[in-house]
Amino acid sequence: MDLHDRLERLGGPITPASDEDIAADLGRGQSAVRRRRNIQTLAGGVFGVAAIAAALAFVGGGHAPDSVPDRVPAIAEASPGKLTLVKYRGPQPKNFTVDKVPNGFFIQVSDEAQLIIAPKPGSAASPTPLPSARPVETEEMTNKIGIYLESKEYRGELEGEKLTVGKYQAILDPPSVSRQLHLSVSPHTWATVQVAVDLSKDQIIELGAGLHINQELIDRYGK
Amino acid sequence: MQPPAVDGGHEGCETKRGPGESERDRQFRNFVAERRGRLLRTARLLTGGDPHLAEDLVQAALTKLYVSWSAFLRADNPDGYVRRALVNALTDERKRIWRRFERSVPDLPDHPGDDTAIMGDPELAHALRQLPPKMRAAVVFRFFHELDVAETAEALGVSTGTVKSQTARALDKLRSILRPTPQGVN
Repeated sequence: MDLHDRLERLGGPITPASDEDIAADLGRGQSAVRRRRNIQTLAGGVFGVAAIAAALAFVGGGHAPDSVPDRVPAIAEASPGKLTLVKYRGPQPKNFTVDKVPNGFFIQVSDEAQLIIAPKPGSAASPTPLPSARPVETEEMTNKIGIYLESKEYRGELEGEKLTVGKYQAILDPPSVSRQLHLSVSPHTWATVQVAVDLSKDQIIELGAGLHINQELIDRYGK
Repeated sequence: MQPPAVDGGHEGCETKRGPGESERDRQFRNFVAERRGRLLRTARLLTGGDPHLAEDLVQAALTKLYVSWSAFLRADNPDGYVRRALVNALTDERKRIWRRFERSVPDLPDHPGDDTAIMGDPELAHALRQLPPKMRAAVVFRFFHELDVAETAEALGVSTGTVKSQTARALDKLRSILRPTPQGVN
């Protein structure tokens, strides 16, 4: 059997889209357009010329799908300066605990799969400056920090700067729109800290050093 | 064997606009109805046979297409545009967490049907997951969709030279992982 046939078998059959799938895809698209309009309105009304200039600079590079206008800069429109890390004083989640978070951030989601640290509505770093506004959807990772476990097997070979962070060997991705710090928490498992906010390299390392993960969770994932 | 289109297959299911629906909505609805199944199959390969990540990938790509629908309609190469959207969704780590922690391949799925693709060829799924995402995508576009080097380069957003080197390295790695068969990996 050649590679093409094996790929065909792995790809599996083509299943027609259900009405529910189509409606959900349409709904997600419409929501994304609304979010984009809201951000543009906020940029014009609240953050002024500098934010608009930053957004235009970001989306002005063509019309390939990776430069569609919903890819606004992660933090430029929301925060005029670099964030500072402060001691986290809220209730600690069961599976992931953190020593520090960026000032004005809170733990938005905590479960067995992930920890999401997001700006509080109304804080300087928030894209929703009104305190009464709902936080951005949990699946949206712009302006947030996500922490999660992932399989080393799936990731394959990682490229980046090799570091020691806390008690773990780690790899820090090269700078990009977001950065990822991968902590080797077991022979089979990375704990990945995905940072889409304005933190320096040293701050990302400090954040990673203050991350503690329930050993039972690591063991369970590594089986 | 005829190469399958990445997202092709117009099956002629044009619909009229529903109440309150824009022209973009109607066109997008038709597009999804016609092409989602094929996109999902490509995404299953791009994710090394992971049905959950594949669904995530397709949702992300379709959302981007909806947002930039007019640009998509104006694109010189709409199929290339869709392929690029899929690859960008595969490599875009910024927007959301990708839960990449999957059961090891030989494990039985918790729910029948969840891992249909992996069950189809667990060895190949395991091997593909050893490749970095863009290298995996190069294999899928070159050896499943049978795109030429230039088309693959466009989809990946890299040079043709990079496609050639990535493809060669990918094949070497796959050969080293997959058990030899009478036909081998060719």
